[in-house]
Amino acid sequence: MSLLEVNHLNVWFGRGRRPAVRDLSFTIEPGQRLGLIGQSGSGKSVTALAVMGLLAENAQVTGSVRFDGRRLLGAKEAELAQLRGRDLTMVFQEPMTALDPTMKVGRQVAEVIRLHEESSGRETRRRVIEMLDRVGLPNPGRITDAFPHQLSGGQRQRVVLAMALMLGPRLIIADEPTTALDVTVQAQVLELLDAQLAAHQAACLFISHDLAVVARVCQQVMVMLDGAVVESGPVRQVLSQPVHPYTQGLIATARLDLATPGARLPTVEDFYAGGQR
Amino acid sequence: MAVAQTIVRRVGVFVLSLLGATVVVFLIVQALPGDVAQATLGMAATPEQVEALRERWGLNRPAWARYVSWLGGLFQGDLGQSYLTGQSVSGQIGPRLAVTCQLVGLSMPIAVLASVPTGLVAAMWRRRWQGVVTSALSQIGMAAPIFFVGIVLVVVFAVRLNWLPANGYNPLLGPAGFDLAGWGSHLVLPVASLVIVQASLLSRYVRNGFVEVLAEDYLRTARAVGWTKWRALVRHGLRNAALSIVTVIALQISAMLVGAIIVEQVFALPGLGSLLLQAVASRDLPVVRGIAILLVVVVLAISLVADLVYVLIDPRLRSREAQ
Repeated sequence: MSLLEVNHLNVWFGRGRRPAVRDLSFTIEPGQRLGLIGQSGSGKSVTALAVMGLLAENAQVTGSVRFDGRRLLGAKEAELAQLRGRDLTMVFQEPMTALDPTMKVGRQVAEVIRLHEESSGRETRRRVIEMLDRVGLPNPGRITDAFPHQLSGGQRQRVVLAMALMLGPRLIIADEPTTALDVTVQAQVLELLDAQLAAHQAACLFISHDLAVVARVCQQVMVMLDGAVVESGPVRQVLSQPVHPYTQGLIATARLDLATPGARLPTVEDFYAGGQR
Repeated sequence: MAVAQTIVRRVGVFVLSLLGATVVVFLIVQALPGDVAQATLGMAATPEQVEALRERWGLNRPAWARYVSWLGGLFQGDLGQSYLTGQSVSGQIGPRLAVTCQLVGLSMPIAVLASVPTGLVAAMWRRRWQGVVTSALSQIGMAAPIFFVGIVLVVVFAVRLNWLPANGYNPLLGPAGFDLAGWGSHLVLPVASLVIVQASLLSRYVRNGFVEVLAEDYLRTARAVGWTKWRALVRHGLRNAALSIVTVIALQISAMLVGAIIVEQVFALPGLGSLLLQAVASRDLPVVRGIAILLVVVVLAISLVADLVYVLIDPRLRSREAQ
């Protein structure tokens, strides 16, 4: 049985509007890492939020999402809340606003434990500090007592990652986890995510617009355009023999080493004009 | 410490504003048309009589000298004497202030307690009928003039149903001894009028505060780690929404003192409002000044407290490297 099974997922906001996600189907096996690539507005984040059950109230959703055989779409909020944070976790794109500005970082991480397990105060604090240490935060004891605004963007993203990894989830959804970070910090956070996924043998749905990043973390990749998947397969194969013109465009724009000096740089539209509506 | 600095700075602002306010209050009261001596003695008085009274009250002295002696008195807690009764102003204000304080002191906490759950419901269910109905009710409550609400309450509960007295005030410790029932029954309708109007207005702001917070990323994070929608809002939304709500509460306490003046008229309560109206009508300037400066102190004190509450709620205001 697949860990995550998405079948004929459709999402749209408001009547008469073009759907944000159209007839999307995919599966993720235990421990498998699937990359989801596409430009902004292609429906990547909507897909992630639909799986988590965190879409805004005005979203209409059809199709089915099963996690470990359990139906997620249409499940009660309380039932979903039990899964979220324990078996199914998420890392968001924007670390600057992802944490409650009025609460100490340590308490926010500790909440993940308190929500799902019985744990004494002392034991919880020990686990929080240990996890903050594992995600590479220097001086974790001091960080637990800091407020989010006292940390840098990279540090905050590590905190969010610590929250997502805390209870050893089976699936982590990472929605552009490094996009908002500096390039050097990006590399560190990716390395960390990679190592932690391996250590927990956790599956991952990794969302990005950056081919190089996806190629580093994932084995499988899906390319999304205008709410639908246009191409999918093993990362190597999709990168070396892209079939859809949009994918070819994406790869060409990413390979700057192949560009002729002095010539105009390629754009996706050189390969695929259908994306602009 | 950054917190200590903030407190010192805010207290400094408080003192300076208060000093400025004394000048403004003095000048405005000074500029009121009409001669108090003439008004007191009536049109039949001879110019000599009027002049003698002006002399006795010190009205012939230059304005700055009168300001300085008034200010000097203020620092010693002496607000001067009433022209009309000769009583000390503070002695006149005291019992009236007690009535107004009871009115506002009972109404505000009730209004706040009522507005938080209704605002929460209006925000969470803003796309469902429950939220729409709550919002509509609060709009009606906001739009209704407070004297109208008071009169409707009197007509229904005092005149028709005859459950409660229509007006008047009964002190808690009156001539007949401790009288909780009499005191309470006379305050129910006035407090209810203030609460209906204020809770409606606050509920609107609480709703808007929560709607803003609902769109925040950290609330989505809270749900992603396992809080249900409602519990996420209470746990991570309340404190953040409180930041904007505290401002409104502070402003509304001041507004409520004004609202209380009207309510006191409707229910014939011997509060500050009726004293102020009497004093203005009879040009009893020391009393007018005394009440005005008292209201200034209250408003400034409330905004001082509100600023300190911000610092308690928002850690970003506590550290030096605040963004």
